[in-house]
Parts: sequence; structure tokens; C-alpha cells
Amino acid sequence: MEDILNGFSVALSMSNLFYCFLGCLWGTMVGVLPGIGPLAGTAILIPLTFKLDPTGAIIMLAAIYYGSQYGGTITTVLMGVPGEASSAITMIDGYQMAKMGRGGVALTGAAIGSFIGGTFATICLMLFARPLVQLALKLGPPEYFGMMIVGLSMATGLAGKSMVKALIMTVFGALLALVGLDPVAGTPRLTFGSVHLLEGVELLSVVMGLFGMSEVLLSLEEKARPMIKTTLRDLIPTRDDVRRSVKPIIRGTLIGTVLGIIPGLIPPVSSFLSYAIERRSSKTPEKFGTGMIEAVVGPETANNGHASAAMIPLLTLGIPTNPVMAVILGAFVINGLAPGPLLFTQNPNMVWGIIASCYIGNVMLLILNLPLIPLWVQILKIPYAYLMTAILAFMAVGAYSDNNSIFLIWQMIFFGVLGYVFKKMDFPLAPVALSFILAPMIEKSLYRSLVMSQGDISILYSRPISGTLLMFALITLIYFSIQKKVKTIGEVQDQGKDA
Amino acid sequence: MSMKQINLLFGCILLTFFSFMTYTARTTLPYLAEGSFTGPGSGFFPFWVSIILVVLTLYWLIQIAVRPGEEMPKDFVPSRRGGVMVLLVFIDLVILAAIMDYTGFPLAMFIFLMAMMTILGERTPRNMLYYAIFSVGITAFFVVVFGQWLEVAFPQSQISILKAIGL
Repeated sequence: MEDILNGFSVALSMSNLFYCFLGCLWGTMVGVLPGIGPLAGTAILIPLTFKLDPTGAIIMLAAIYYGSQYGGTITTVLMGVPGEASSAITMIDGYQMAKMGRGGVALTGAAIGSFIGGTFATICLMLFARPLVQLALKLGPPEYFGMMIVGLSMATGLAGKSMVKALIMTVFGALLALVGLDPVAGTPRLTFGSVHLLEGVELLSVVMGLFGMSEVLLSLEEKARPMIKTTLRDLIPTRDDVRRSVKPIIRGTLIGTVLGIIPGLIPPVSSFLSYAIERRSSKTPEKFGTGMIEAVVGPETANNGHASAAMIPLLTLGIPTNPVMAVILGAFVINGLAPGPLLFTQNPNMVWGIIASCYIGNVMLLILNLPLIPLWVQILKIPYAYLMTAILAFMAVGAYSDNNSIFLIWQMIFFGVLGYVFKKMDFPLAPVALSFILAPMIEKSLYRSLVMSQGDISILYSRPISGTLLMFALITLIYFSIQKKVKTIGEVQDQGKDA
Repeated sequence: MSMKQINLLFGCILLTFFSFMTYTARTTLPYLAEGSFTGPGSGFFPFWVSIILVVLTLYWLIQIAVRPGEEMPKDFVPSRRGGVMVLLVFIDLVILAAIMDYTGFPLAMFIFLMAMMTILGERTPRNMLYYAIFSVGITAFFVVVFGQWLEVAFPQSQISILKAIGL
């Protein structure tokens, strides 16, 4: 309890409140703007964190992440274009509601649901942080190795339609991470004599290129959709809307919180699962797709619960569960900190301050989202030329600021083009970011494990926890391979019937 | 060109690249650590990661070759206008990176912003004036926030006139 109170005293300081507000504001904007996802949106502001104190910096970056989950709904409902991936499923019924003049109600339901989901996950983070830290302190390098392999296998299994393409992208991310100085021996690896590559491929350039620039390039090919007008009067839900939203919010909260903790799962998984469950438990599943509020509040609650719950493994175990958390982990490292159990003993005020700020951030987002919806809608009216230009300029400057080097802008351009080509070829990009961050950690865990066992590799599978984790990772990969194979065969058969 | 041929071509490019990485890792880096501990060396992970990529790409290529060709997705080839836009924006970014060291950050960024908005927006005299004002504003924002507040060392111009006025 003392920790929590200390955390609130840190989070409620004027400077940290401001950073939290700034993060929520930027996060909502990132969500509102199609073409710039939470990953690139978080990465853009990392250069700003060089100047801030680490607590304020992480508070701001975390707020961007859960803020983007709120903001994505606005574009999704009013334009029928997902502001970010988690909101894609909300589009089906949310856009229909907007067409029926009930867009405001959909947005209100989603904002309230998101608040409840996010707050519940933060409470869980407060309750389970200590026990998880105690557990984490008992784990050794082989167990960490196993956990990270589980994270990668889940991320790979859930990414894209083809297992082999997802695996290629996961391993490719690891290959990128190996460029630079060997962390153990200190010898240059895969640098091809380039001095610039001695420090490795930079995280910011990879993220901004693969996820930011490639999205901008792809968006240049698309035509803009018209926006549906809504007024403030439309925001208040009816008694029937409230009655129908209660159970989806409860279910969405639980789904998001539980799935958010599992390594490798990204918020869209929670929102898609919530949608499926709402449809299955509905008495009128045939009406889904025609503007059902359950199909909006459930997934939106789930994705926000997921975003806040993802902080649990990052802060307690030091393991990022999804690519955005990987970027936040990068920010910790840039600021000379290592999230994990030791952070709770070495920097308790900081870590509890970050946790408390998640709660405050969710309150801020509720305030920002409900009365300010018309203001966010105005942002979408900013001419495309200004918006995309400013975003690309921010990315270029952000990449440069990472190390004051033009070479990093070249890197960003390279990864931007690469991301554009990979997306065209239907290769999933999310596993690249996660494995890029996890690969060096996996390498270190493996090395330490081998030092512990004096070179005996069996240490990885002979210890009960690490063995179980590796077995689980293998089963996950096999399960998703079969699932994707069955799906592909079904699609081929359907195409055959159509022909 | 069919989608199958495009996939095969892309697969071959990936295979060549990953094979080259495998060769580099095996020939230029020590596979095992030197000294008292006989564990993995600098080349151990790069070698195995590259080998796995070669195997996976080969498997993908076989999948493409064996399966019947799939239809090309509707948005795979951009419209003429979309394609030109993508190319111009790419060239604009390349120019930004190429000239920044010579012209200095403010001028390079101003040129980049102006060019971007001219490519993406309507090219009326009134809009061009707005674009110029916007470009100056954004450039000034970067110089103040990143250059002064965050102490990012932006490149200085090599052109004597610009250097003289501190750009």
C-alpha cells in the first residue's frame, strides 16, 4: 500500500502529470490518424525522452500506447478506416452505427469501456506486481530464454496468413539485431567494414521505416474516404444501450487483461476474440454487422485492457510482450535502466510512479475522449499534404536525433522501402520488431545458460520451467501451423467452388 | 508477370541475400569462443540464424512452385498516380538525406517539406504560399525544439553565405 501511495505521489507531480497528458494527447492523435500506428507513434517521441527524466519519459511513452487504443476508435467509427489495427474489428458495427446517426453513442460506449478495461488492468498490475517480482527473482537465464522463445512463437503464430512467411520475418528480425558489436566478445559482426554499423542497426530507424514510412507510402496509393458528421448531442447513449453494454464490457475487460499478460499477443487478438465471444453469446448474432453496440464496446474494452495489462510482464519480468512494449523497453535501455524485478528494489518510486500514471492516464483519456470528440474529428480535416509531410519530417528528424547521424535517415529510408515491399508481398512485420528487441536478450540468456552448465545445451530443456516453456513454444508453433494450413486449404476449396 | 512469378523472383532475391549472410558469418566470424570457455563464438548466432532463413526461404519457394498460382491482390500494383507519388516521396527523402550535410539542416528540411507538399497537395499559387509558411514554421520548430532544447547537433551548411548567417 505504501508503494502504491508513493507511486501516486510521483505520478501526481506537476511534471509527470504534464508528460502523462502529453502522452495521452499524442497517443489519441496517433490513434486518430490513419497511417501512423502506435509503434511508429511511440518511436517518434523517443528522442524527446533523452532530455526528460526517465520516469517522465516512460510515463509519456506508456500513455501514447494506451492513448492510441482510445483514439483509433474515432477514425474507425466515423470514417470506416481503422485508426490502428486493434480497432479494425470495431469498424464492422461502429461504422454502421455512424451511418445510422449513432456514431457518437458508439464512441461514448467505446471510451467508457476502454476506461474500465484500462483501469481494471492497472489495478491488476498493482496487485500482482509484487508476487510476480518475487517469482521473477527465482528464475534463471534458462527460464528467461524459455519465456522469450514463447513470446516469439506466439507472435509468429498469430502473424499473417502464412506460417513460413511469419517465421522468416521473426528470424529476419533476429538477424538484424545481430549486426554490430558482439555483446560478449566485442568483435564486429556483419558490419561489412562500415563504421556506422558498429553500433548496430538502430531500433528507431527500423521501427520508423518498417512501420511508419512504409505506411505513409502505402497510404499514398489509397483514396481518402468521406467522414460521417456527428454532433455532441449524439454522444449520449440510451438506457437500452447501457443495458446491452454492461456484459460486453465485463467480458472485454477480462479478455484484455488476461491476454495482455501473455507474451507475443498484441491488442488486436483481444479485440477480435472479444468480438467473436460477443457474437457467440448474443441472442441475435445475425444482427452483427448492422450496427450492434455490443460489437463496439466489447472489442474496444478488450484492446485497452490488453494495452494496460501488457505493462505487467514488461515491468515485473523485463519481457516485452508486443512490439510497442519492445520500443518502450528500448526507451528504458536508452535511459540506462533495465526493467524487471531489480527495478522494483532499485527504483521503487519510479516503477510505482509509472504504474500509478497508467490509472491517471486512463482518467485523462476518458476526459479527452468524451467531450473532445468533435475536436479530434477536426484533426482529420487537416489537409493530407500537411499531415503526411509533418509525419515524415518528424520520422526523419527522430531517426537522425537517435545518434546525430545522417546514416540513420538512410537506414530509415532503407527499412521504409523494405517494409513497403514486404507489405506488398504479404509478409507480416510485427514479428520483426519483437524479435529485433528480444534476439539480443535471447542471445545473452543462452550464453549465460551455457556458462552455468559449462557448455551443456541440455540445461535449456532439463529444468522443469524452461523445459515446459520450450515445449509450449513448440506446441504453439505446431498448432498455428496446422491452423493456418487448414485455413489455406479451406480458402483454396472455396475458390475452386466459386470457379 | 503473374503473382507466382513475382513470388518466385522475390524468394530468389531473399535466398541469395540470406545465403550471402550465411557465407559471411561462416567465413569471417569465429564459430566457437576462444579461451577457457568452449561456448558459442561471435559467428555462432549469425551462422545459425542465416541458415534457418535459407531453409525457410527454400521451403517457401518450394511451396510457391508446387501450389497453383494465386490471383494478384487488387491493390498490389498501385495506380499510375499512386505509383508516381510513392516514387516522388521516396526521391524527396533521398534528397533530404543526400544534401543535409552540404546545405545544412534548415535548408535541407525546408526543401524537403516544400517538395513533399507540392507533390501531395494542390499546386495553386495560394497553396504554394501556405506551403512555404508551413515549411518555415516546421523547420523552425525542429531547430528550436530538437536543435536547442534537446541539443541535437544538426549539420551546419558548407555553403559560405549560409554558414555566415548561422544556418
